[in-house]
Amino acid sequence: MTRPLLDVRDLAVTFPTDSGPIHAVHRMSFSIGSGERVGIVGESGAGKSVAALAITRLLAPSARLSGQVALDGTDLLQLPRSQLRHVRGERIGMVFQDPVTCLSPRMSVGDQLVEAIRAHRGVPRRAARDRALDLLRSVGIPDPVLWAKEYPHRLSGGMAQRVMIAMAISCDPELLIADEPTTALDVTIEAQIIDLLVELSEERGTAVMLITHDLALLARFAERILVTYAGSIVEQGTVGTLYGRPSHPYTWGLMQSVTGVNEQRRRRLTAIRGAPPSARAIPPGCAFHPRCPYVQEVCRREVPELMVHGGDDHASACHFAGQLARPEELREVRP
Amino acid sequence: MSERVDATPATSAATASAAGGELQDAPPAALRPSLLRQLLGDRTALLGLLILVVLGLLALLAPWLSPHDPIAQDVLNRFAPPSAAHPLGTDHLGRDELSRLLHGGRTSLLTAVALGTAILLIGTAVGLVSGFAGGKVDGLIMRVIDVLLAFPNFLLVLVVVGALGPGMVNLAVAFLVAGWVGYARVVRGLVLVARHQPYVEAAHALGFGSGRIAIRHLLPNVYAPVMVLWTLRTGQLLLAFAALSFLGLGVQPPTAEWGAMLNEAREAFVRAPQLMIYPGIVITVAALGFNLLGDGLRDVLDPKLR
Repeated sequence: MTRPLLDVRDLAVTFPTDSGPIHAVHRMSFSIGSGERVGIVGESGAGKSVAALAITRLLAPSARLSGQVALDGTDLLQLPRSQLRHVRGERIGMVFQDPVTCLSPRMSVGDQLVEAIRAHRGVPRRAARDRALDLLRSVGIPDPVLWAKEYPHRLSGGMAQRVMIAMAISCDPELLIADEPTTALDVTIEAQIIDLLVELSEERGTAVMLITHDLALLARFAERILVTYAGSIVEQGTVGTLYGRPSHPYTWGLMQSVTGVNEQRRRRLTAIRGAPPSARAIPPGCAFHPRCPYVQEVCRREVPELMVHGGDDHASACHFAGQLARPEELREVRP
Repeated sequence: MSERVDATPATSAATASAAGGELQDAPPAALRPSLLRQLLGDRTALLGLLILVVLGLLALLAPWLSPHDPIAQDVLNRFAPPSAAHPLGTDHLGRDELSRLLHGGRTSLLTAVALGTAILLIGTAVGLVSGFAGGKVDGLIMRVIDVLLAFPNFLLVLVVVGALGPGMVNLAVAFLVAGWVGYARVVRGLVLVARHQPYVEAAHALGFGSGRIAIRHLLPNVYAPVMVLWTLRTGQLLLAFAALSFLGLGVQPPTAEWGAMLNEAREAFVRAPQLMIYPGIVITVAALGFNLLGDGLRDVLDPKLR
């Protein structure tokens, strides 16, 4: 296997506070191949966003990072601060949740794009302008010449997110990290943005890491999915495996709590009982054990490793991976 | 594939705003078309602006408008009543009062504006650096500011003037030393808020350099409140400058300056009260102009007060 584009090993993020440390990310390991589309799913507070920000070291200076984040062999966590600027925006583009507030309110859309281009490339203003218009066109903004002159408050959420994406890909990054890019948008726009990300990734060969709490969205987008819980990855696999044969009780819980319009028969929506653990006090053993319906003695004592137990690198961090019987309604779920 | 409903093509700004509920209607205050036009629409601001423009023009054009040399004495013609040659009469040394008022405006008003602007630039720069850099740099700058703020502003000015000796340049230095702290504090506070705005964090994520972020993304958030502060502080500066000149610590005779003119006229107050009244009136009017402009500017820049 070739070297992955991004290789995250044992990433841990801790915020020291007066009332004890907060373990936002807890030994997270994963990799993203060149041009691959990976989805990261999990509840609020599972550490998805913190992990994403940790990759480009955008967290507050108080955050303690450990582990390794290798981008094409270079460990970003060891990189001097002065070098980071050449990674952010240039090699890793980022798109955030609320696009309208992510655009500078006092600068026109076109100017911001020109800024983004010229921050990394010493191209003349004219060339940067032309490129900005091309970018706007490629993210599906009609009449770019006109919209480039507009200020962000005149843009709809969907258009603003398109502009953000244009800015993020302005320097042809190898990896695009999209942190819940559609949470602030309504569903029809959401689908368009996701389609746009797929399209851009395929056209340009950009790897995309999409963070979301929406499983259904990932089915449309990702090639591989990582499920996070309490700051670690509990299951990973290709879309086919993960939707067809999920093996971690937490993933089951997530899937059972999702509703679908086209469901064949009425079923009860099941919520996962309890609440996700506080990042101050992650339970010993398997972090999910207090909420797991299949909990055994070993779960309370030993931390399960993320182990490959099926084809296609399907891995699950459960002591009983592959041994538990899936809940009935998940047996027929198609990807 | 579904049609891209969110990307409404628009042919002009006007149709864009009408193109459905997705576009927001109310732009933030600082983005509305022209600040000047709005100021002219605000009666308070307009009056303040008018006063300052008229006084400013008179001061600028003083050498051409004045009927006489402001320091030419005519001792035989002391305390002359108004006449064609001396529209406002003469002072205790027979100098033309109108010429002195006009030239005094040059000293008082223009100094206040220039000094006020210099203080603004220094204070803003320090506040920007302090708020943006954070950490030790911020801590150090803030402690210095705390120390300076612990003294009453006027006392600080007096101490500096006392150390350097009276005179206009020394007085300007004293105001500079005492004045930048206020701006720095305000700007730092605004920067601290602005630096956590998503778009500033997004700018970091795009790999923008610190200088670019500070100047292009943080500074625009700061200018509106700072402009209001400038008008109010410059008005105060004008008054303080006149007060210190009145006390003999600022402008030295025979240079015409409103505060100094008040002081000189004081001795002959009973005989020629008008010589105190004229500079008194112009000082008041000028200060009023700054305050009116400041109030109006605040109203225009802060839509919540409408």
